[in-house]
Amino acid sequence: MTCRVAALVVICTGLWTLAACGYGEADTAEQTAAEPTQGRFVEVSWNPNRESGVNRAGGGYRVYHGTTPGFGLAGAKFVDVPYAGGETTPTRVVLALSPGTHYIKVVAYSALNPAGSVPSAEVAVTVPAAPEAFAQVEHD
Amino acid sequence: MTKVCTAVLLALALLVVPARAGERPAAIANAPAPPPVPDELLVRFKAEATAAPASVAQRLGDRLQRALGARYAVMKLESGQTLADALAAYRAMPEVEAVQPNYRYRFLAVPNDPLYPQLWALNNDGQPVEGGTLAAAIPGSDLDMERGWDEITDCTSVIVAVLDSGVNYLHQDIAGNLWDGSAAGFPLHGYDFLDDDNDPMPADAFGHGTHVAATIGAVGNNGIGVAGVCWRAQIMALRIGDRRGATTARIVQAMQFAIEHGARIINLSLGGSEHDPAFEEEVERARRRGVLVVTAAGNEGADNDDGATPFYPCDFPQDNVVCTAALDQSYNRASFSNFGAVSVDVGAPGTNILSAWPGRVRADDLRGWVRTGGWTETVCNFNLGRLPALVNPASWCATPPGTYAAGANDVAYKAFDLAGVRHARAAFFRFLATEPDVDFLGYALSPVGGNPFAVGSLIALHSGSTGTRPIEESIDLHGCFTSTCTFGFRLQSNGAVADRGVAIVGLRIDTVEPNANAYAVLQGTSMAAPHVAGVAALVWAYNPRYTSADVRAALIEGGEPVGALAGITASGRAVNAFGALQYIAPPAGVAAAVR
Repeated sequence: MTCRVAALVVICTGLWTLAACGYGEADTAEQTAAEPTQGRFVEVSWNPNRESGVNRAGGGYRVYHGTTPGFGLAGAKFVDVPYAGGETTPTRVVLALSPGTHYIKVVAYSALNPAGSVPSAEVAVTVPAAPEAFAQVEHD
Repeated sequence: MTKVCTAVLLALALLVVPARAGERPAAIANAPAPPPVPDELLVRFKAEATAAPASVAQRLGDRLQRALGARYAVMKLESGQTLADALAAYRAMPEVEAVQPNYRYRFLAVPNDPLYPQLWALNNDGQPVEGGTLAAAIPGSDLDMERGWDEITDCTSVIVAVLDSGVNYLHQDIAGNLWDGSAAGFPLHGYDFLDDDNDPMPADAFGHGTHVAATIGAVGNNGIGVAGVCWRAQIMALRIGDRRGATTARIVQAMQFAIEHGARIINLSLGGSEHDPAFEEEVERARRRGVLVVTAAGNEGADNDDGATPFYPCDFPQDNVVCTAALDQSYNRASFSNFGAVSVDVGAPGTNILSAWPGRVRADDLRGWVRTGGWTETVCNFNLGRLPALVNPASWCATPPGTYAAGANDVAYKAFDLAGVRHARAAFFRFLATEPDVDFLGYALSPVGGNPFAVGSLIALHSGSTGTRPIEESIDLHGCFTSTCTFGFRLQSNGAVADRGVAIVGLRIDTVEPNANAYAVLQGTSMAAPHVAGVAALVWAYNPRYTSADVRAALIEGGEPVGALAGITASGRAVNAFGALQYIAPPAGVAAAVR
């Protein structure tokens, strides 16, 4: 799956206006929500859940993100990471986020439990305001 | 919801094809067909029909119950006609295109075991339990098994060790669901730590362990007896005690055996009030080995956490212990069930639990005995009421009582057919008062019939006084497994001092039978624990990557909040099979990094 992550990162750079890029499709609201063009990629990873239902068709994760600590899931932005074949559902996703602090939590779901788990502990990540420009380093 | 939706879809599928009476959908053709609703019909109206369905019903003396879309209606038959006559009457109406019975459908994950409808713990529709106590019931107070069984019924990938009084592994409804220990040298599915041999049959015919085992894993959907929480299972039968209980040493040995031979779940429907370091150490070892220990809260109606009445293993602090309180048919705490806001984790059904029994229980009416001398068949007043009794002398019940005869050599015996049994016990209560070490009450057996004191063998002699409380006896009838077995009593006295004598009350013969198909209703937290152990096995089989901590979390977090458990158990929840299968742990180890 690592290879696939790398490939997706490349695709994502070309889709800069997407709020996030993941393995799956974000919901409609998500895809139309344009983020500022100034931003960076944030890689979110988590341990695989051990429920069989999470790791087979109909299962997966939703990676929620917001800009308020302790944000509620209702109406929050998320990226869907569905099962995509193989032993386990992917447990990494790369989000394109605007500068500032973002709060992230992950919910696992299955066909039997589409509402999903209690969300994971929330983690915070701060995207620098001014991304460094690419510059050639001069050598002697 | 799955089943409900399935039923609705089947019903709708039926509606698109005008069905003739008697036609049945193929999907459930192999299930025994329940009769259609006796006083309802489904009517399809012609597209051009102008009369309102209600008026059509009214013309036939019936009532429109509800419309089903534009052209179908459910009619409630109130004219007193038979279903067949009503079908004909509606078919003859000019507005009617077709008419059919309102068929009933079985949910698919409902086993065909004939006693299943009495297993309220698995599906509570308010039913009484034959042989149980009279109890109020609130439908739906159950483990939600039918929804769980839509997902999984087979627990064979998870070995469950039942540390108990042994299991009749030849019982028809258990035989297919036992641990296969052949490769390890245990072909009889476990071990007997009481007799120190590899045969865990309940040699004293005490059925506790058989009952517990079948609650976890009686073969389901086999058309026989009951259904376990697991329809298919691997039960490891470890005999650690008899009707008198178990000991630390045997429990520890059996836990070691279970852990070494691959059990993932240990059911301990037992407990005691002494803190037991050796036992706790073994529970800790099980924890380190990833083995879940499901246990019972105790039957004293007490608070395990009040410091005055601790109860172990329930109170052990290890987090691989799931301690279970008992709930009744309305999901109130069973009056006998212990509780504890810290130590008791969950609740589960524990009253009027019907499950397997190792053989027949033949209650003897204490009539028809062959008697000599002072032996008399009578009825006496006891604190439990008037009960049949076999007494010597005849005046044993009188006030004041008489004394037995000097120089007595009186026998009373009866024949019992014990052909083909594996084990048998005579259980009874004896009141005794004889001149100590001089006058004796004896028991004897004869496999060939007749007076067992003349042609059989003497089993035991008792002398002295039991006081006002009787002694409970359990006599092994080994050597008498014939169709002509006689069992009897003898009162022998010398010529001098005589005393009040003997009364035998509540005699029954308990057997262990190969091919048994016997069942019994029991109450207790002992019955609640195996429901939890069964659900744990189902959850583990469903989620093979789970750790014991995951299984425990699924049992607790996937439980159903129950008011009666709030504040007196750690979770306030009753274990729920569907909830536990549906449970998903919150993802852990979430990390985010700017790239």
